[in-house]
Amino acid sequence: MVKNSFSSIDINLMKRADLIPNLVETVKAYAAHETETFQRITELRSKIMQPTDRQTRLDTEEQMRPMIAKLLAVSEAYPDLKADSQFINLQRNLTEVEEQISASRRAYNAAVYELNNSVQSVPTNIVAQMFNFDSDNYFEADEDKKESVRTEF
Amino acid sequence: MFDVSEIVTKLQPSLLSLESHRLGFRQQLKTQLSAVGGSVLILVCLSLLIKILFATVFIVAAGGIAAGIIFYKYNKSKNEYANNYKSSVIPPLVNEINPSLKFDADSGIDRSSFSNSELYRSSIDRYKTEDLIAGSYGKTQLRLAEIHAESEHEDADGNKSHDTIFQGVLLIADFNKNFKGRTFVMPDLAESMLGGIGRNLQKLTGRRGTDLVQLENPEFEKRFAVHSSDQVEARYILSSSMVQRILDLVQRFDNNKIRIAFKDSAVFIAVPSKRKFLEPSVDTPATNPEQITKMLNEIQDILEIIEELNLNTRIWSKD
Repeated sequence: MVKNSFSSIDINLMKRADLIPNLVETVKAYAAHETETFQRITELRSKIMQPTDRQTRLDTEEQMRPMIAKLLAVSEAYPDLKADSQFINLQRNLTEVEEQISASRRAYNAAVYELNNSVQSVPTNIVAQMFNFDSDNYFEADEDKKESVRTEF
Repeated sequence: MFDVSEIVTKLQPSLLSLESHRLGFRQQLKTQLSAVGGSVLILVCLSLLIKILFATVFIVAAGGIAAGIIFYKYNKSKNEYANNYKSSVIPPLVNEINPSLKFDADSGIDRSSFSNSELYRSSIDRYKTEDLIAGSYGKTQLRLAEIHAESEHEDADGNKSHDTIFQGVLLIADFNKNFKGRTFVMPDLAESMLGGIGRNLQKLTGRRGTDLVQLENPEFEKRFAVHSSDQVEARYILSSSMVQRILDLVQRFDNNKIRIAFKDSAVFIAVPSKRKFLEPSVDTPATNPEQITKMLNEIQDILEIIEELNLNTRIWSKD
């Protein structure tokens, strides 16, 4: 159940990564001078797409989050961009994906809580020892990582 | 806020006609009962005087039958009055609240929609529904109606009786997020009564194809048991803010029997109540503004659920 929960996080993170190229192109059409932001976000996306260990992947995803927020915030200075239907659509999709990522994390933490309880409580700890099940770590948000793309509704 | 006196003024012709009808059948009841009562009394006295017991019994029985017929006709008039009141008064009230909503006293939520919600698992043997309000409220499509669903059972002697499965108002609204699975938020009796053992029992009592979902809000966990076909989707629907909204909703209604289902990208909310929904009182004059206020409040109490659950916020991919 813990593995399934993590794969759910993974799927939703990939969904978010898939939205990035469209977002970059849409914003570029109105704010081409934000080159540093575009470059950084593209680099992070390439890093995400490469196979790597779980922790590196998650760290990269966490660096991606404020970059997306920054890109969306650009629209505040460009009313035409803000009104662009493609941009609006992307914003909605991103909000949805971010909430799905949050939901996946909560589900993962719930699964880890169950696992840790089973590993530590009698009599399930006996079975856990027989099959070498070990407790796992929760997803925790640092102060920096708490910045979301959108406020949760 | 609505100006009830203005509404009463607009509806004055209908209300006066209704009041005339109400006074009419109530007066008729008094007159007929007095006539029957008086006649029975006189005839019983006479029969006692001439000492024919059979006649006495017959007169009393006939009086009882007459009273029964009078009350039957009175109830028929009462129902007619209620239907006329609903047809004349409630549509303008609903229009005042929101012109996109329509009221139909004779329609309701069909039985299959009620069963499909899976809010109640008992099989339905008798089903009545009325007072449908349907349309859009802001960005949310909705329909709500009064429902009385019952199941039949037979005792050892073969006597049949009906038990109420649900009596109250069911609201079905288009949810503001797309989802594919089924999630149920039910009043938690097991955990509140049995603690940890109750929690373990909850794992076994979900709808087919669902598992217990344990959320982070301790107050919510105490009041509700959540089961879902998808752990992630359940948490996507029941964000921490939605969980708080549901708690606030239950507190506003002061009703710990509210049930909620999320299915087919819609939300089904069952608000049980023993009081009839939108039923005018025959003891209150039709022209009484308090009755109008009461009806407005009953409708708004249910419609406010849409705002309370923030269903008109459409910032995700669903319009």
